[in-house]
Amino acid sequence: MKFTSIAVKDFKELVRDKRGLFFILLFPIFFMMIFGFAFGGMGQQNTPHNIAIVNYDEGTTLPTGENFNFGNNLTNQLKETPYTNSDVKLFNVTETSETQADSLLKQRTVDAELIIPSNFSASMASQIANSAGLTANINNTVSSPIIRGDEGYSNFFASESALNSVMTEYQTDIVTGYKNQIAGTPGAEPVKYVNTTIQGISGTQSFTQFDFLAPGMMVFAILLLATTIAAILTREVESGTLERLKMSKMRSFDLLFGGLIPWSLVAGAQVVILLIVAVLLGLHWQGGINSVILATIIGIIGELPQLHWQ
Amino acid sequence: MDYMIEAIDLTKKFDDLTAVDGLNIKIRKGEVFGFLGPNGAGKTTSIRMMVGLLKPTSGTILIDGKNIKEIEKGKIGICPQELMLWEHLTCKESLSLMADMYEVPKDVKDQRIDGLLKDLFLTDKANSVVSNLSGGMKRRLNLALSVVHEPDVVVLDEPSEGLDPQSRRVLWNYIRSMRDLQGKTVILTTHLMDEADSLSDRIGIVDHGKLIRLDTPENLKKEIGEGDIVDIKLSDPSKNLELITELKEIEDIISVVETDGRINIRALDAVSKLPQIMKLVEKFDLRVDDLSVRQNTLEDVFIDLTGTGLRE
Ligand SMILES: Nc1ncnc2c1ncn2[C@@H]1O[C@H](COP(=O)(O)OP(=O)(O)O)[C@@H](O)[C@H]1O
Ligand SMILES: [Mg+2]
Repeated sequence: MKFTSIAVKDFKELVRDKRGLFFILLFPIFFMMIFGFAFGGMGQQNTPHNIAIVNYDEGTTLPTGENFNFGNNLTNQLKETPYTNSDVKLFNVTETSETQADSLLKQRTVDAELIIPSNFSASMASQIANSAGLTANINNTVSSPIIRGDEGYSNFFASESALNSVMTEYQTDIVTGYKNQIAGTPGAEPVKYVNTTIQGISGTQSFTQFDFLAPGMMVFAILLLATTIAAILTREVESGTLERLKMSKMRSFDLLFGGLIPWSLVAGAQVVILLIVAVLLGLHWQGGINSVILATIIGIIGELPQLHWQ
Repeated sequence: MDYMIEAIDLTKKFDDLTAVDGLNIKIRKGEVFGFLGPNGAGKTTSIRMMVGLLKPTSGTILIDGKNIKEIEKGKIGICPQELMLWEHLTCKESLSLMADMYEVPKDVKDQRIDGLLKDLFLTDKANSVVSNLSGGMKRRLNLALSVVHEPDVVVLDEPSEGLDPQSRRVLWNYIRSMRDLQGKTVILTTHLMDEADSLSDRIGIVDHGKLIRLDTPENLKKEIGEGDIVDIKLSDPSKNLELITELKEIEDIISVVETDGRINIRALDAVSKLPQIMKLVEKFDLRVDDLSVRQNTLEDVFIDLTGTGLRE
């Protein structure tokens, strides 16, 4: 059981080298910061929220007699609204189908998805009629637009609240506008005909944290292990101790397998730290992984020449 | 079989440099064999091939009559010239690790480690991490790690390099006790004459990868090193070479060499040669700044054989 002696030795070396351990554990965070900034668009200010709009609205005939599609109107409004005191648009809108929107959401290409139901215009009409006191025209249609997104993703909240406030403002503006136009008496109690609901895609959340991050983390962990094994050998070569070990009855298996055990613990700790930081920062990972692999491969190649021992 | 290690036509080339050149050597069981030679002579390269760490370009090595490739691991212990230690382990942990790697049985392991620590005066530091040890302690641990499995053959590469006189004494006593009490075959390399002289049963002098002499220290001193040495320092050392050429013409002078700007003249009855020497000195219009007559040492033999040019 020589590999256990090696494992114990490596573990002692690992924990006693405080500075080394500190860097090993912080390295993933450092790594993540770099890729976070490079690919995750961190620290963004006044950049448009990416949203997808699925418009099922069928339009309606207004009390004034005109045909109108409030869904299209809202979509245009969302496209146009800028940040306060800024030229930057509040939203970057993709109009698409629901399936497409859901998949964009899962890829985090969009932060939130707004679904405008088929009876949206009808409900808007009911709202206008109600506030204008045109009771005869009320057909009491209630619509439920849906804002869908991953509740485990910080960008979703930002987009969702922006969406919500713009939509509320939109309704108020429209209703007030028509009320003045029709110039009727206000209704006793305005009834709310548009009830926006927030829909968390349960799938996305678990998908993100596990299915989505985990493969990347695993690749990352494996590559980290590869580099660390290279590092173990490099250290033994540099201190000359590998020569001692080679003279003994130790086999390569003992050295590598024994070394793997404590380093697996370290890699495990690294992945946990990485996951925590990833969740805290809500980073995009698609862009990162390729670069992580690339960087790790470069790292390994960099270590290889030092492994030339006979 | 009388011989523990036999090197037959051992050669090692590094690109176009021949570090070891057709070395033939037979090391007896139970002797302390000293490899003496200046830096870069090829001592380290030779012994690394003899223990199987380096592949010879050509030649054969037999250990106890068997080809080096067939011998059981653990028969040889080598103490490298450089420190090869785990900086973050304690002395005891390091020794225990190497004992495990050599499959030293558990029931003798602790006792053996304690014995080694005691013999090499490391008991006080048993639980100190290596990075906190002094240079001398590290070297002693370096040695202890090489013999924890009690090999039949112990190879020490420049063991007293960088040791203070106290540590050196400990080391020398330990080397002698390995031969006398444990019956081990010890090979050591050194460029220190006194070390080779006082430890070795036989000395092989190597230079430029070749074995140029092999004998007991006594015979080396007696045979090549007969006579006394006249050691002269001249007022103008730049004329040394011219003078040496003429000095060599004098009858019964065995050798004349220049070392450190001084001229060493070896002759059987050196004092009787003094008048002739002084005559030549005057002929060159030189003064003698310093002159002494002393007995021949192994160092003189060494310089005689290997010259004084730097090797590295
Ligand atoms: N790995 C190597 N590659 C190239 N040259 C080497 C190598 N090892 C030793 N040498 C050369 O071989 C010669 C003998 O070296 P070495 O055996 O270390 O001498 P010593 O131990 O007697 O001081 C030196 O000239 C040295 O530079
Ligand atoms: Mg050497």
